[in-house]
Amino acid sequence: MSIEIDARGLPCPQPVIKTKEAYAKGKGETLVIIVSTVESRDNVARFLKHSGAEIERIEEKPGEFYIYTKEIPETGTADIKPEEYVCTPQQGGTGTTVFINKDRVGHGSDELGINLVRAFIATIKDLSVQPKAICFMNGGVKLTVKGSETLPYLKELEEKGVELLVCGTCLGYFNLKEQLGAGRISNMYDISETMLKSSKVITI
Amino acid sequence: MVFAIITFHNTHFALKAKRVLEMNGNKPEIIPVPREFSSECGFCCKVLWEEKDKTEDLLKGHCVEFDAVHRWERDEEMERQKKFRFV
Repeated sequence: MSIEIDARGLPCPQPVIKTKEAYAKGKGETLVIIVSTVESRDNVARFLKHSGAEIERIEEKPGEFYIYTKEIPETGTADIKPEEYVCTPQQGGTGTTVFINKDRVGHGSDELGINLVRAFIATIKDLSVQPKAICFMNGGVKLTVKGSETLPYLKELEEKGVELLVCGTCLGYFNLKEQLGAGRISNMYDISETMLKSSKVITI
Repeated sequence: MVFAIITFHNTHFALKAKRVLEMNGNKPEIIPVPREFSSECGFCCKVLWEEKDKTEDLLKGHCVEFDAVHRWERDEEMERQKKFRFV
């Protein structure tokens, strides 16, 4: 028999606590835990591992994760401290947003930095995992305009469904609004909201 | 499509190669070295295979030392269609 634990929408560490309760009652049975964030998925998986239960598989559906366990061992222990399973402050968000606020990576050499940012974008377009959005601000908007060497890569990312949000104020400042080649002109509201609703923001 | 992947001993040569090729009217792509090849430098130069000889000559003519030239077959369209997931 399988015990289903619906922990969708619950803040951390509630999914772990509910899993722990089911674990205590479910010796010899399998569990299906449904969560809605990456952090909850990882926390529940970590708890199961520490408790001696084996994960059969994890299925990912839009906004949901189904964690299937093998039979809960008689010898396993669910003696955990819930405070160890508190999520990061970004709890509730989904997906990764990349924030690019200049047209190069880091400091030291501009030539190197410009080529690094190009290489970064060229690389992520080929990976099997993609960010949900890339936000461009300040000098970063220069990567999205016609003539930019990164433009073909960005177009590919856009075709794949990665949202490209380009700061309109910044394009205006550099007088590049007419030159936009990929993404959509966006504003501080959209960009801030996208970042705050992400489970992770990576700044380049 | 078939490309020539030119690898270098260090980043300075990779960037110099880009400058030299651009000065001569070429449009080289500087990309991270594909995983199947290894190199001391993380950057490589990607040009069409047909342009391999011309590119090599240009680099040699401008004293840009390179490490190796690899043949890289890649279906760009298939790459575009490749499955991925959002994280």
